[in-house]
Amino acid sequence: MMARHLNLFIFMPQVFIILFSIFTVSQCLYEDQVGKFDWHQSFIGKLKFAFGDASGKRAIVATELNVVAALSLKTGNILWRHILEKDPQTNILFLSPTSSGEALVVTGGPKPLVRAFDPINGALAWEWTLPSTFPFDRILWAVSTEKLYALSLNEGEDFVVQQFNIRTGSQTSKWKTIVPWVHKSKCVPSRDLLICHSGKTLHTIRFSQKDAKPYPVELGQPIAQIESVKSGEKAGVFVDLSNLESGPSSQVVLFSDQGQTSVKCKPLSSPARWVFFDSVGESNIILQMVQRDEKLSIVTSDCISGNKIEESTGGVKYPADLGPPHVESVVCGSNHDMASCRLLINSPDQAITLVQYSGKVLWSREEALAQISAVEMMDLPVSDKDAAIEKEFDSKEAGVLGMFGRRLVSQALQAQHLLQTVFGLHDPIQPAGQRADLVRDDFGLHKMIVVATKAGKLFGLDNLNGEIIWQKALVNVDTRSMQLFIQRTTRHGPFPAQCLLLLKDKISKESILYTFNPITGEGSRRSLGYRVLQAMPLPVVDEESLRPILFLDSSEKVHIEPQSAISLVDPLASNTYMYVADPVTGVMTGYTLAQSTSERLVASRVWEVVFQPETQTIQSVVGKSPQERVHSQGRVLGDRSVLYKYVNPNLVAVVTQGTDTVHKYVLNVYLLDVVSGAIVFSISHKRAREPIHLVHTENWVVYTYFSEKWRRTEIAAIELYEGKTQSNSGTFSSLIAPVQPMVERQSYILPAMVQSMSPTITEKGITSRHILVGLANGAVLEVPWIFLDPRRPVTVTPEMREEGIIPYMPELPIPTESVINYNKTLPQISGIHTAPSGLESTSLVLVYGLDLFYTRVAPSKTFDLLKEDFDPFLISMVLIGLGLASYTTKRLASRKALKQAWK
Amino acid sequence: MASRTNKKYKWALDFSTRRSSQDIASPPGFNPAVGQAHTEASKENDPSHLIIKKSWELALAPLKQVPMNLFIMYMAGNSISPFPIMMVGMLLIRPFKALFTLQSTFKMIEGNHAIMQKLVYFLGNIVGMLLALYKCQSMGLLPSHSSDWLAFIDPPVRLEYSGGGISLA
Repeated sequence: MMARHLNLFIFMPQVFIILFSIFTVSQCLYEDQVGKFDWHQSFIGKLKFAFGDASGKRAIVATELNVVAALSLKTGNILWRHILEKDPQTNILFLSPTSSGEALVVTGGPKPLVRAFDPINGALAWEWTLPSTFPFDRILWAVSTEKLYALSLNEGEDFVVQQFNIRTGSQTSKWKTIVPWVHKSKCVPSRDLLICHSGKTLHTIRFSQKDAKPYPVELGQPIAQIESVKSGEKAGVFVDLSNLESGPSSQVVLFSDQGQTSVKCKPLSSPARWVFFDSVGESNIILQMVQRDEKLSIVTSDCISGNKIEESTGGVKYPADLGPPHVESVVCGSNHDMASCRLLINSPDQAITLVQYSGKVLWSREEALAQISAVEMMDLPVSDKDAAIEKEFDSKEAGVLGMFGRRLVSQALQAQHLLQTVFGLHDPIQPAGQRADLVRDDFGLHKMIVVATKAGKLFGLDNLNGEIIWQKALVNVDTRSMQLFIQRTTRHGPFPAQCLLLLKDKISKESILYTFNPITGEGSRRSLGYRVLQAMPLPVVDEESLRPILFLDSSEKVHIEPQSAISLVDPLASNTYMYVADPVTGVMTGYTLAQSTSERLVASRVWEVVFQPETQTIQSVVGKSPQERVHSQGRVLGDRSVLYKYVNPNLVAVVTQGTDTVHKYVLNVYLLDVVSGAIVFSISHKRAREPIHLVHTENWVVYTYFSEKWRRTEIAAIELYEGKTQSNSGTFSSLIAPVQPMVERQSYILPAMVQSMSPTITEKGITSRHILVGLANGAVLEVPWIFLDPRRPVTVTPEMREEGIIPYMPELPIPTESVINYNKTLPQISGIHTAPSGLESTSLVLVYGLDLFYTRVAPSKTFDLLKEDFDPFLISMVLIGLGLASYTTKRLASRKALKQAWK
Repeated sequence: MASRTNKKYKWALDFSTRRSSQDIASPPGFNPAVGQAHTEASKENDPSHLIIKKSWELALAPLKQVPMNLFIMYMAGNSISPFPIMMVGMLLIRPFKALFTLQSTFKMIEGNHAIMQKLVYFLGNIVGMLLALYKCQSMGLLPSHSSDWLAFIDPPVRLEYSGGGISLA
């Protein structure tokens, strides 16, 4: 009895130590470590509206991602940034400078707002609401001298003008003008005029005036499209003419204040982008961007005569197939010198570029990175020296003498290298298009981040500083269901690494493969000629170390990429299964390749699970990461027996959201074996709804949902165990009816809104797993699994305490030291990618969304690294010093002993 | 006979050889048994006796430590912290060392009880070791449970491969 008490007393502090260490395990930084392992890049998204402010130092921009920001024209950096409400319906409808210089922003959605921001510091100058009954899809907006005009166009009938005081929002007047030619897509406002086109005619009317008269202008050619002229002295439009005989051409038409007189400039062969007013010559100058091969040059010409005034000698590098660039704004210096003008260009690949009038690129922002859809982290290739050593062990057929010879040669090469580096003669010879510093480091921490974006642009980023190493824009692609596969890593000798991107053609919707080298970005595009339903990398590699990928097309045929790998599938075919979940019909179908022959692959249906689409819709299907390894096959209990994990590699979690008359929202989670089609476990949450985020690894599933009942975010964990004995320790088969697993489950309150969730991953899976949770407030929280453990008991028994389980507390803590992005707020987090590094303790993390944030985490601390402050120099000096001291004292002692003996 | 009397009366001065020794009474305070006792003691000083005694002491030493060890074990508790570990280490190492230096220890054991003594010494050390092992067991230091071998279990080989997801069409 006494001993038991003694034990408890000794044990209690241990519980506190464990609790304490959990909090400190998470990566917390010292002040001097800020930016040492991490970097942060801010973006604004695809440009929608822009204007240069009066000072000529900044451009105020509004984007598709509901961001209003000011960009420095000098550097391209963000001076200030406001992220407006993120709501599927909310979007920025209008941005314009007011007469007093503020940036006026109109946002639609459930709560329409008009806001004005100070251009210098981004402070909100004023804000007022618009009636939410506004027909926003039919409204054109215009600003004129302290007034905001909302023109609601009734197609083919009339338009209603509502005039608001720009500062207070009070409606000063409202009138209706009956004109038959108005149409939202055919009308643009320019200054005080509403300009519409129909057929070959341009109609203008002064909208700021009640009972204004419309004036028609005949152009003589059918008009395809018009765009408002925002600069110069006069109102006007850029007209795209479609002429069947001479092909498309472009013309600029300028109008007087009332719209009654017009100036038709000379038709141009390529579209005009901007109009300058030359106050000296009293003439209008038109700017064009002309594409020649891979270069863009800026051409200016006179409006009336069409004579070319100037053409930039340089030229901006611009891919020929990208589509026309859009000049968002031209900012000129105060001295009206055209050469000082700078053009803010928005290209279809979502890049924002500032170009000097002379054709020199001042800066460029890759806004495609604000919408990332797929990420992979690739090892970098080894350096030449290491490659030589690897080559030595490559061929095994060489005899002992051959091997010895090769060893001597490589040693000689190494010695030569060493000498060259020591004497500074070394000039690194790298393969073409590859930088000298892009080589693998000892710990595998230096990687290449391959990113595929929604804009169809691919990037290769250096993970140490976020620098863009290569980029490639794919045009005419549908990126909604994009998938990125690694076919070959950099570890396969002479063969370069290879990635495969599966996407769809924009027009035909057939699948496209883009095969590329992730280190250099060079690649080739190939159309498949069918629509891929699902893809699956095979568990084997061919003789060139290339991982074949199976494609199941919409007619249930199976294809393999590369074609030659078909012979590899044959021995595997009977054990290979694919599944497809169709959210529209609610059917999940399993296929087997068992009926394939060595010449032809055949997929035949083996099972089907129907989630009735009337009652529930499939939200997500989450399988396990193929990279993941489970090191420990069980969990040690307090009595030192083992609870074996149910690690089924074929298990997927299916989340469905249902509606119910009683409970309104029902969330269902099914754990489905995709080989046999058996539902291993299912759970239903009443009055729980989106947003749902799910993590599925090892033997557990963690998901978050919003509880309608309690109006809070809850996080639930499910853990599966085989039991105290392992049914088959050697192999795992889903078909040989595995035991029904034991299920442990528990849910917790997370006092935050979740935007994304991802588990950490390490190379061997020895390190404990943490879950990274991206929160709506811009923090990325590192939650140790021990906090989410479903075995956390309400009443703690001594055995459980022995096991190290902490008692159940409903609310999960959010300690600030567990926030891995410390004070760097990350708005609109859309995903977290984790990748193993060469160190078992360390996992690399890329958080993406509107911003990019990269860091590394060590869930079990860096047990395989020496401490930061470990000083090998000092230690070796001390050792050498002590060695010398002991040697000298030994000599001295022996001399003394000799002298003593002679006395 | 003379030697016997010499022995009996160590301090007797025999001035007349004719006189019988029995005639005179012993001086006061003289105890003839003292000499006797002394003879007994000198008998015990016999080297072979001493050796046997010493040998027994040596042989019984490990067993004599058992109660002390039991007390230490009880005081140390079952928690895994540096001091109990050190104590258990001592408990374990001492009999081990003793068993390894058995030959040199046995050289010291002589006499006709040697076999018995060697056996007792050996068993004493074994008992000490068993005690230490018992302590290890109760502290959970022995790999006697399946959980201790968990790290060596390889992950099962998967027989089927699967892949797929939400329809991309």
